Amino acid sequence: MAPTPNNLSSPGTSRRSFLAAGATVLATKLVSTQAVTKTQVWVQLTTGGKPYPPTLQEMFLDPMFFGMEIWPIDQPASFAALLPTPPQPARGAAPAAGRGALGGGTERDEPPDYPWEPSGGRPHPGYDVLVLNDQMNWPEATRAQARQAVEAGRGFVLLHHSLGDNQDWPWWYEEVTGGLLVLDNQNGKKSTAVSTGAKLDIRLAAKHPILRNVAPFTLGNEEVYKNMWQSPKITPLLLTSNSGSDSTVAWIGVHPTARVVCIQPGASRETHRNPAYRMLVRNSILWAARRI
Amino acid sequence: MSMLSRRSFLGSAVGTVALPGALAGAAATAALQAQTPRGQRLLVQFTGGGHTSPLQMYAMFEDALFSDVDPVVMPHPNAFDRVGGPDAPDVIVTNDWITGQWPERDRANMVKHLDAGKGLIVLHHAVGTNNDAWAWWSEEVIGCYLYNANVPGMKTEARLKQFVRQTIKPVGTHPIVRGLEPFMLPWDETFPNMWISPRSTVLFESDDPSFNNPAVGWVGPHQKARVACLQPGHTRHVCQDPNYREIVHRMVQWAGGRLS
Repeated sequence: MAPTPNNLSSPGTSRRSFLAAGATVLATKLVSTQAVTKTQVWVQLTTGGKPYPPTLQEMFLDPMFFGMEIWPIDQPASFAALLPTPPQPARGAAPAAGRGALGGGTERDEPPDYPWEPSGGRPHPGYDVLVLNDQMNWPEATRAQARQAVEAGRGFVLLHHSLGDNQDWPWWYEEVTGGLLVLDNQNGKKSTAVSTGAKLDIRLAAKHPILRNVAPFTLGNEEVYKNMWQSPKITPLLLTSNSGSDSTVAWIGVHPTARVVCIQPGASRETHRNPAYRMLVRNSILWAARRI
Repeated sequence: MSMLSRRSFLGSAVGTVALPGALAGAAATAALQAQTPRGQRLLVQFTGGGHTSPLQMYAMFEDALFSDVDPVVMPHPNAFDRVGGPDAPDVIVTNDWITGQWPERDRANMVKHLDAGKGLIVLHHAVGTNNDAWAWWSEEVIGCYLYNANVPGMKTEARLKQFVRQTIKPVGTHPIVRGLEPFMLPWDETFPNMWISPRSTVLFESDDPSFNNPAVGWVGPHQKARVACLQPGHTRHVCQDPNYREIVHRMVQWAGGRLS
């Protein structure tokens, strides 16, 4: 019941009523905020081939990522779900079960409002954004899926290790991401120097929706790259003056259709738990999904 | 969409309340880690891949309960290359889903890890990994088949049941189950038609009537390594459940030689 001046003035209940009133106001505010800021972004998170701390996934449980459904699927991963699956016919009732029953397939026994789970042959909603932190040369089938998703205008956020993806696929780094962590000298590109434990003072390079609520910040323990190959067509977002690192450490990719964001930091627990870094990743996902 | 909206609202409300607690938890974990010197913490590698897995599965290893381990995520490809090196894991925890078999490089590294008497924990999806083509793995290491590959046609009899709420009952006197009481596990995906080796030591049983064999947690038959398997672990609800995390932590401790 909403508080009234009368029950607020009652000496026995005034504190409780005041708290209840506060809770009601808070709940109302949350509901109204929800109506305005509802995002519902579907995100696939793929890592592989390089070690990292589990604080990467822990980061996405921060309430800052409210409204996003983020599903890890590590390599070997398919990118087919970046495009929606066609509607599938409803499945029949679950077969009779009992200990020792042998029928194969999937049985369902769940509440009607059970959250979507990416298993059991359910129609997929289609991920809006692919967040990458893997480092490998993708097989041909995966490349075909990625190309289709790029051309369909899906979003891509590349973190740290994934800047070394697809060393042998120039289309990916020249036409999409605009940057490559060069693992070995190749085609006139010198290998990138990698150093650990670096302190990075980071400043903003431009005014961009991704940098909303992001102030200059410092990362105390990061793995940095020097002499990456970077396209002259990238749009820098973040800069550093650390001499062991390239100056541009976050940028917008170069593909005209897809929305692509590249973020060089992302190796350490300290970075994953840095509020400014989290805000940067959050905004990058929302921008890549065309929500901001 | 209304269902999603409601969930998001609830998630937001809970998150608003939980944020200070989460930050305090992270600080507590860091403090506990600082109290346990680096050389005394188990090096634990988590390897997923080939299937979706909730964020909470990974975040489990950042729970304060796991403050006595140094966790690292190392997915495929070449997931076990750290074996034998300076950062060799004491315990490998798998939740990958590669039912054919790992490439030769991974298999050789895993054999080296097991021969060194180190620890292996196999969670949920990974009970089916290597199911089709590496019989030694299924029979001599983890002691199970997702479907019984010895019986022609059984592959098509593999069953998936979503989303069961089951009571898990500890069985026997193994250190992993010592002092534990039965508990209810939140919604999860189960594999009711598994074959469990009679040489496995059962640790936990489910009360769900659809199981061929009620064992959902067991110690594998490998003679040198310490191998434990736990069939649950699909949903976010289970992966953040304190009882589930307690079991996984105990398995890690036992597999790392810290629980006897």
